[in-house]
Amino acid sequence: MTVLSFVIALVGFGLVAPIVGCLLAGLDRKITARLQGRVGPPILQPYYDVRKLLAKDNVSVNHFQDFYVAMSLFMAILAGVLFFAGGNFLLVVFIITLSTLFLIVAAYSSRSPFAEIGAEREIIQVMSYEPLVILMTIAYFLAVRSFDVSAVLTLSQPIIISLPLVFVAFLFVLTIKLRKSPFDLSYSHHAHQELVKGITTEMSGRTLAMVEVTHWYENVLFMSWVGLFLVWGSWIGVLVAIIVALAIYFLEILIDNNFARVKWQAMLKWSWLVTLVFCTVNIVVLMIVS
Amino acid sequence: MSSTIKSPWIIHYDASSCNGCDIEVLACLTPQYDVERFGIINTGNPKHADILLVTGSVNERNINVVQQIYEQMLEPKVVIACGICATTGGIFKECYNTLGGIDKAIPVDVYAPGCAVRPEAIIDAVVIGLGILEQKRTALEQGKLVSEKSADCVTAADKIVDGQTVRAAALKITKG
Amino acid sequence: MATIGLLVVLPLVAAAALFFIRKDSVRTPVVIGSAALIMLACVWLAIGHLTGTMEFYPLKSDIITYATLLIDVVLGIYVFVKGIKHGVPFASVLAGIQTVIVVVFELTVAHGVSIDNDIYIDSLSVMMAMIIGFVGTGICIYALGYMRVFQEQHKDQEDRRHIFFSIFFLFLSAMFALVFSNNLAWLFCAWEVTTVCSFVLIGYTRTEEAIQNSFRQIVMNMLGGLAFAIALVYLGSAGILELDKLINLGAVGLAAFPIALLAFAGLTKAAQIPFQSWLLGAMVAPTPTSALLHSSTMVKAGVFLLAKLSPAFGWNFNGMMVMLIGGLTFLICAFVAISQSNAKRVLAYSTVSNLGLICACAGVGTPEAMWAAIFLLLFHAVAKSLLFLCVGTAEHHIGSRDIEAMDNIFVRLPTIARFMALGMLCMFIAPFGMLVSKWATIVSIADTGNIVLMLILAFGSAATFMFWAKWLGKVLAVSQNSPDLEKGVYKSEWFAIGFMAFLVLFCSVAFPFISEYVVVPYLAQFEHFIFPGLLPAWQTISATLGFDNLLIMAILVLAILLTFGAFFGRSKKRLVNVYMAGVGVDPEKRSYRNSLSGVSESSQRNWYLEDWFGEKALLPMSNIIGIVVLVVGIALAFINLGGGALL
Repeated sequence: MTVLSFVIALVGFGLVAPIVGCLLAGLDRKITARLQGRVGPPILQPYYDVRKLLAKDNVSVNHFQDFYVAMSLFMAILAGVLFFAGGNFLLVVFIITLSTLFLIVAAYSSRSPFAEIGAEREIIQVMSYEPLVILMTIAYFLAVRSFDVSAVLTLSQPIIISLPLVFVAFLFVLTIKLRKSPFDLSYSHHAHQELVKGITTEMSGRTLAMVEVTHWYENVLFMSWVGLFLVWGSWIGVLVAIIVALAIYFLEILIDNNFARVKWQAMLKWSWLVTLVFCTVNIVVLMIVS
Repeated sequence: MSSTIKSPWIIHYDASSCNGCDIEVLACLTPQYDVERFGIINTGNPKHADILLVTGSVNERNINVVQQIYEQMLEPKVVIACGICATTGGIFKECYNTLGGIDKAIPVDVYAPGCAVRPEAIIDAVVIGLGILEQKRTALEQGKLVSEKSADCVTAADKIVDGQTVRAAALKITKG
Repeated sequence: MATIGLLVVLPLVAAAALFFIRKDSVRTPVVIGSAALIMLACVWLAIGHLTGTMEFYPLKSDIITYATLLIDVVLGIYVFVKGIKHGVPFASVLAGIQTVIVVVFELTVAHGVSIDNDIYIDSLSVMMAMIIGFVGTGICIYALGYMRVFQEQHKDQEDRRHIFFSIFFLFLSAMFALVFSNNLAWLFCAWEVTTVCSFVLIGYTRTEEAIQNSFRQIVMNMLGGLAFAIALVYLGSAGILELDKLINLGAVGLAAFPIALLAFAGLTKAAQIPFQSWLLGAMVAPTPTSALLHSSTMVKAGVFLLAKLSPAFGWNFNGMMVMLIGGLTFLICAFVAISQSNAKRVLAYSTVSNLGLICACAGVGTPEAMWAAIFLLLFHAVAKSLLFLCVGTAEHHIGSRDIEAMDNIFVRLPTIARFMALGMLCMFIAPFGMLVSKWATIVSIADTGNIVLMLILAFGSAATFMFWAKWLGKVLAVSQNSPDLEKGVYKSEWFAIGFMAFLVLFCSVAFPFISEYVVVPYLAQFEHFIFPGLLPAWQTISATLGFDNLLIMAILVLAILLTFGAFFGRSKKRLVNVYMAGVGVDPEKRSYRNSLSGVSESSQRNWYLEDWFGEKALLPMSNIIGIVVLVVGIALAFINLGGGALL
């Protein structure tokens, strides 16, 4: 990772990711509506939402929440920039976790019962997907012999060929990372009675707008992780990665619309089991073959 | 046209309604009416919502709840009284235990009468509400918005003629 | 050389003086003065040797050897008598056997062995000495204020603070001796002194529970001491009584068995499964004791020994034993920590868990793993002492050490809560020290391709996130108006807490430079231990983790701190109450109007998931696994399969 690649990634990811993320979010709502037999909102609806939130009155439940949410946004951007600059994959993983931690702390800081439930569930979600994410980076290292994301461009074939099961396990926890049903425990669009708005209950106006933008950045980053499995040292790889990432995104929307929310026990049990079995088998086979 | 009116998030509160109007409110979200076309989302959280839809005639038990929810909403915000009970008290108007209309508790911006109120009327009311929302947003931006407290409510429902959806007359948005 | 002598003698003199001082007005200057002198001596030592190569000093002093023998015997008798007095004959038996072995060893076997170098000094021991010198003495200063409050709150008890402080300094002296001894007999003596010191400190309050737990500690550590003594006899008869020569042999052939025994001793002292219960029991002691045991002394002696032996580990059965025990401990104790609501128990389990990680790294034995182990040790020492001191002070001012009672501590004890949060961040999240060290651990384990440790690390890290994040959330919860309880905190406590916080930040920011100039050169010495071709050379430490990545981390720490200083709490937004479903009454108490028009308070407890991660659910099984691994490991070493058998 050079300074030049960092600057290019900073400008590129910093500016393009929110646009892509916004469109992805809009697409999500549009497709969801179509799946339910509705017309749905315009594709730019997430953009209108954020613009509206920015125009709202400035209030907060304490003087600290804004800081945490801003740090969460900053860390999400930084993680994406490091990723696209070809930096260390583990570093990216750690920083995106830091971003999530700041969001959790922001929710806790409000001391609202609903936000606290959301925060605790978010912690459980992190605990559910973190093993897979760490094992995925290790598997990535074993396949590429480097932790640098840029190393993937020197390969002669995409790593999905050597890591098919890790990819499947990643898709499983991707649903948790994108906070989609059946794993939308912490921050649900459909659980007003129980959670109000979970983690974001006490965030309003500009603070909430920042959270939305953070999600845009995050989603682009996570979809790029999908793409990482499909890229190799050819421009066709990038094309394939984009097409597959979009297909996976559609799949996630489909899952979101077809499953009811599960309890945390089921989430933890299943994600750990999938991680344990799929990653172990894949890594052991990989080590034997190489 | 600002983004504010493209993304009106609502919160719905049932202030002792018979549930008739509530079902109609929810009906708006179904594929038949699909209000998400206009960016409308039912948030269930006053801190996120722009429009408060209230049904029912309000009684002594829930007046505080209505007021607290109203006050926790961020400016710019709009209140729509859904159904005739919310508008004037309806058939419960003279009852000893009801207040007879939401505007006895909080300032109302738009009245949508009906028993039960039809989804078209609700959508109509929201569209009128959006105009007010936009005015309030402009006022807020210029620092002229009169931020109403629940105590500022003015009864204006007498103006309703022929069950038409109307905008509250006594509305005072900007200072001076 | 003279500085090393000074570092051992200075605390010893202070200990002797403090034993006779019973007045606060005299004790305070003596403690502060000695602490300052020790710190100065450490700095002086660091200036000379921190970045230097390994140096040896042949002391050849018979007086010291006889003195250590005398100390061993006195300690043995002390424990023997205590064991009989309190009805724990097992402790007496162990002490008896151990003393007899040591006396026979010294008078017969050891006489025939000539020792070239008694004392050594290298970067690792200097770093360790700095941890002891700064963190340890910092805790002594903290104890001044803390113990005053403690005595006020326990008026019924006799004032035995002179013993308390005396033992504290004795402890430091023993630790200094421990990290510089190359003569294994001297090392053993220092080892036993730390065991007995912590025995006295744990039993300080003299309650039934404290005495019971102090005996649990002494029995478990005497087992380790016994293993150490047997290793001494075994090595003595083979003519090797020096640490460096032992390490140079590697875990091959002759050295396999004694190294296994020393590793066992290290594991008991580091409170690894199945011995974790003594450190948990030690929580009954006053908080400065816990801080001292956890951060700079006692358990650190265990992992220090393992880190020293680390070049002899790797792909052999001894390495496997340490790796598996460490990994198991890391995983299980991180899980169990989720189920604890007592703050000190969470800290204790987290300590044991982190020590497990250090042991696992030491067991892996590659330079990268050793690098990780050393930094885990450093950051754990500074961050954990900060956390213990904060929890101790918080306990005195909110009257509880339960995490649930820390609700809103952010407003009630603003400064303490912020420091506490800093300590927690340092323990589990990027860009702070522990996580960067863990990052190196992941890299080194990915390199060795040990699938079991990979899984352990992945799941253990997730559990670590869980128990820290939920506590951190509790500490950072804010309500708008609460009384400030921070008035009565003593200056000595403030000084110590502030000092630890400074150390945490300093180490986090200076991380890349400590790595480049201290630790990497240290590891370079062990280049020849690496199996060629199988593992990357030490030079790749910078390449795999990357100096630039370390720099990014350090810059991030600075960036977070600066933005923290610039924007934290400066929001100009108008404050409103939290949403309570429209029925909120008092936002401070989170009360609401219930369905009978009365007022109810809502409360929120953290998740502890006891059915999944409780002590009862996990510990019995893992203790059995731990015992099996230890027995099998030592048995394999005994029948001399140790070296190279796995390759």
